[in-house]
Amino acid sequence: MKIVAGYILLLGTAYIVSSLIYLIGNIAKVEIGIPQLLPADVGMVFYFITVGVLYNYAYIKSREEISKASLFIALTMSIAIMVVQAINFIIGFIDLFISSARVEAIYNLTRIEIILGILSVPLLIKVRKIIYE
Amino acid sequence: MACHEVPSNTKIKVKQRSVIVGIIGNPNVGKSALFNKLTKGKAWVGNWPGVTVEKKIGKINLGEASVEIVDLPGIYGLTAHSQDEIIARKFLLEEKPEIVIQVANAVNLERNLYLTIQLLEMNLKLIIALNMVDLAEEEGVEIDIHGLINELKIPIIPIVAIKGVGINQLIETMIEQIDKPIPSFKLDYGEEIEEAIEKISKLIGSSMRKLDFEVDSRWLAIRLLEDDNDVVEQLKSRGLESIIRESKRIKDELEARFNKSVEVLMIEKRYHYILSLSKKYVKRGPARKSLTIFTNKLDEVLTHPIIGLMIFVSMLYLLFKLSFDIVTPLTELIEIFFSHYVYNLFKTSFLPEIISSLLADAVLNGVSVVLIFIPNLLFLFLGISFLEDTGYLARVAFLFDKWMNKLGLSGRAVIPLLIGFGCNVPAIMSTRVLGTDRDRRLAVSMIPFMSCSARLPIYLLFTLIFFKENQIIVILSMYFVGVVTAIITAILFNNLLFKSQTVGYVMDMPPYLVPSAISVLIKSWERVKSFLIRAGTIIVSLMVVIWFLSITGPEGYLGAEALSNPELLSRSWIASFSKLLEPLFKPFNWDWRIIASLIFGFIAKEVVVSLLAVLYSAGEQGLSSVLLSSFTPLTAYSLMTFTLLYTPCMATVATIKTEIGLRHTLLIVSYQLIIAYTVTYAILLIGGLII
Repeated sequence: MKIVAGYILLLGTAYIVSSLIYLIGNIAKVEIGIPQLLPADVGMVFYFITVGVLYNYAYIKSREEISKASLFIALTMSIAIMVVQAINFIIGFIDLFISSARVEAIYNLTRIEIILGILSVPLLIKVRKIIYE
Repeated sequence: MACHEVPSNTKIKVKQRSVIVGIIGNPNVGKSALFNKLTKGKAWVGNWPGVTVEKKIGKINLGEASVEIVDLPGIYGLTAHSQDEIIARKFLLEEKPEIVIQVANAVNLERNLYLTIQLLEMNLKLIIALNMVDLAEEEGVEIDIHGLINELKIPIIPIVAIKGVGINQLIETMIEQIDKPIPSFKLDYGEEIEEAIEKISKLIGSSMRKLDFEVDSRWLAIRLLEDDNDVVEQLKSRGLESIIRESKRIKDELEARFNKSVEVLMIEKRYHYILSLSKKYVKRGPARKSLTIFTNKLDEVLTHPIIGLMIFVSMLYLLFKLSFDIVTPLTELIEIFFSHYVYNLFKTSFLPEIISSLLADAVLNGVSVVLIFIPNLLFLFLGISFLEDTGYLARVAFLFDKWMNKLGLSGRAVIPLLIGFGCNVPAIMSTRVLGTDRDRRLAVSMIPFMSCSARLPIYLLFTLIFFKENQIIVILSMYFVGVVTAIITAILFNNLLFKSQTVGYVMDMPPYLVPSAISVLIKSWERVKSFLIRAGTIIVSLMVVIWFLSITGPEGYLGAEALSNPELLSRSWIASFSKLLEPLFKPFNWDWRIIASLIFGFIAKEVVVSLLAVLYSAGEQGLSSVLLSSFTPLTAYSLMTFTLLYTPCMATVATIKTEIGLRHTLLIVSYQLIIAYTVTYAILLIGGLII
């Protein structure tokens, strides 16, 4: 259980920290960190904060009992944006044939939402039983 | 046409004939999933006569019989209060389906039995498809199906529609039932009411022939006692006022005796009967794996006023990203293919100039305008259908219901309205998720005021030239003006046009389910196909008309060159028409070139910028200096406002026409033109006083 809680905290923090770096960079008009590891736009910042809040809420509650609903929604949202970016990658790949977007398309596979989404999959598999019962 | 093999153990042969089967049930019980399984996804979508509620029909072959399966709207009863109820009842009465399959949710069977009783009272050949029996089992719900069959005297088939479980048995039962007589059903309403029903039935007796539909006189008597407007109107139109008067007298007598409305008394009797059935045949044990508990826990988060709203905005972002951002390469691919390869092919063809221009500039452009929308529409509908089938949209509706109710809409309307900021076409099509025709018309009237992404290039051009310092604020003010106008429109239309049609409704929270991929794909494709076929033909025709008016003028044929030559274009019919309108726009200080750009903006709003460049004989780069000399910041802002508010692009207009009909489209377009003119004039007047 402790491992699961730690993992939730890690994921939630990653979403929120990444959003905060983006916001600070945006306000200060400087580039902080690697752009691939930050949300792509303000809409995604909002998305990341929501997911981060849900993960952290699930973590805080984990001292009593993990908030299954928050965790389930956070996991679904993590994986959903990963899937959307994966589709982005596949469609972007079509660009290969008509433009020089090859590097950009492959680069998209290393985006933070893909990494965090992939990290959420084993957690969903592990806690699937807790969530459904 | 899908063909089901008749199960081998079926002894009854179905004679060669055509049979109509209606699928009915409460909302969210799996009607569409069953419909898709039965028709194997081969269905077509139309509208119910006179209204714009989707009608899904599929044809299958059962042995030698050709069976037409009709998916009816989700309803809770047949009292003809809402449009869906009216449609369903009209279908049952007038089309007289040979078999009616009621899909019932096994988890909440009691809630579904009210409709069952009403269907049985109509003397229909009913089969109950008891859906989600797997979930009911997990919830600890035990249903004595045999007991219920003996009690109601109708076949009840346990199914899991989404997984295709029990479908063969259902088909087998349908075949068996086709030639069987209708079992009689009579719910005892108590001595006094029964006496009243009998009296009215006798009165109706011989007059039955005068009605449009064949129906049991007992049912008609029950409806009269329940003050059914539809039945009363039918009788009135056939000159049977005496029956109405007599039934009213009997009803008043009963009400005086019981000191209660007869309708309430009869509803109570039905629920009493349902309760007795439930006590006898439904047992609730401890849940093995409770979906209800899980659903309730998810609801605590998803319908939370703050977290729920954050999740909804995030989901909307995801939907926008999927349908507008990500599909851009696909849209570009289609655009490049048509505007480059195919366009040049037509242009350089051996055909005469006028023919090649007609094909390239009119037909091909029209086709590409239609096809460009496909990736957006497909991905958007995939997203919406997915969210709809998971049960999430019902929560969104709940979340926004309080706010949207103030505008006379249900909570569900928030989704189409927000999609409108991306593109008005899919937004208007997504109003199909709204339950009633009235809600759809009201939402569709508001959507064109949602500033779509195609209007952004116009804002960008003018703000960059005239409001460089406050670019973002001025652009945001455009969105604000749009939203405020939409709200005013809703209040106005709601009070003037739809006031009398307000219908209360029950909001059902279905359990969260993993949607079936096939069901989501079919639903999305049906919606895209409908746009392609219906809006597509209108767009291409309009494109041809505009092309013709641009290459011809009072002097006759100007040549296809007129489309890119400002001198020639100034002699076209479009220019003549614009010049004719010039006095109307005199207070705005706009010359015919702006008016012509706005007319072309009807093709697509993006065109306004490039056409201004053509007409002012400036390249897009040099346009800023030309505009600076012809506009002031105030007139520029007024033009931006006019572009936001005046008639939307022709793809949107064509979609409105196909979705809600010509009359309402003309109303919306005229209303928008008036609003655009008035607001622009007001801005110029007030702005002129301030500046």
